[in-house]
Amino acid sequence: MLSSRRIATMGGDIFRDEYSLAFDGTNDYLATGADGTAADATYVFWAKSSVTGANKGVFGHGGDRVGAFHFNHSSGRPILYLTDSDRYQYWVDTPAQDDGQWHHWAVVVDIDDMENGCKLYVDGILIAQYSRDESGTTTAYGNLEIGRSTTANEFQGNISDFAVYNTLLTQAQIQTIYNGREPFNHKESSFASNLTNWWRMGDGALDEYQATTTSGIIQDVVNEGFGNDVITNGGFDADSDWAKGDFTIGSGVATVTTDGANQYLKQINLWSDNANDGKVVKLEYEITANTDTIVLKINGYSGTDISSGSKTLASTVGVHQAYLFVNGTGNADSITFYINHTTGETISIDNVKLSVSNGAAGSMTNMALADIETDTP
Amino acid sequence: MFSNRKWIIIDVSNITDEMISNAIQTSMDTLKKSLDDSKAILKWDGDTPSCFEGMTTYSHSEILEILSGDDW
Repeated sequence: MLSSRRIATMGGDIFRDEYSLAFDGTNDYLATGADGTAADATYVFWAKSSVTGANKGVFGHGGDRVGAFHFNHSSGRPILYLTDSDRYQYWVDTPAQDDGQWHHWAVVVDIDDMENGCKLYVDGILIAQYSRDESGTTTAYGNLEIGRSTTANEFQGNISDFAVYNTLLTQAQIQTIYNGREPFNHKESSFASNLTNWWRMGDGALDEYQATTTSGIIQDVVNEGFGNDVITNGGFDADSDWAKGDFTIGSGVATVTTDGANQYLKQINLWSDNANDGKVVKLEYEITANTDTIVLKINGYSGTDISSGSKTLASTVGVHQAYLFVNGTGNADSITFYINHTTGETISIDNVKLSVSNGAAGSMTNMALADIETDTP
Repeated sequence: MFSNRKWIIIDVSNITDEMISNAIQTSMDTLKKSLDDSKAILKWDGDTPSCFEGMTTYSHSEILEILSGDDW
């Protein structure tokens, strides 16, 4: 097995697949804001696993039976669930689920006709259907999560180059993507107009992990990058634009001396109407002073990742960066630096910037830098 | 795989900011908790941070065995 793959593309560049994400099966996953509406689609990806028992949650949409695909779900058979117990499709057992080798998977999801439309291809070969029940109604999707379907169903293995198409791809198209096991540039195919999302799992030019803030981003390369900085007066050049709480703004920084209670520094109206739910935001900031071990937290939307001051940030003196997944119903159009520390210590903050990902970037949740592995098909 | 990673199981009420800062977990909100929400797992790579010293640690295979039980 090669540790990396590369292939020449039309422009003469070398198109590489050198990394994958390793999921440990305990609680890590890639959170995205993509594909949140149940509709016909095709999910294509490379996967490798050695788990011979049930290995659930290759991907899902907010529930283990909501647009969810599982390896070895029962009697060694893979399954696609669209709703609880009466809308699912099994396929016959395939050793590709657990032979410890890389395989290319394509899950074709026909929302309205599972018997004739839902298909599974492994390495470009059609897998025979097994039993199904399509008497029920498809459950409404949440956002796509890769590597888990619920907190009790997490995938164990590696995944690379996960792409979503908004159509039922044909076997010929899937074999084109399989490309004889060579890397495939989804943007250069004749059906690229149906490509909606593509996470390269470490090969994206802007894929990055910040160890000091235990946060990582896997860009959706269909629409990668970030928008402009949305913070006004992030350099604290004036005493304005911030709801300061106990902080003071002066000498070009925001400073607070702790009093043992909750203290905050907030900039409001960064977003409106939850328009950025499901987005990854990049937060940049500088700690210019920290006289003790004050832990800075971030607070914002009432959703995963940054609610209730629960996300701790790197708080040592220096420049830091964090990627935060905004996912919640939202009750505050704000982002808040938040501390709670014993009395008499001081922390100062400067150069705050915040930018929102353009596309449906993925947030490496409960994952480490070591989980971006040089292990590819 | 994950031979350098260790896990602990801890009462949710005993989790501190320092633990979250030293663990791989992204935030308090993304912890994996037991079905009764009383316990959670934390994990790290490499040397054991001081805040976890003295606690029972589990290897990858050990924690997977535990998580397959009825409590999780």
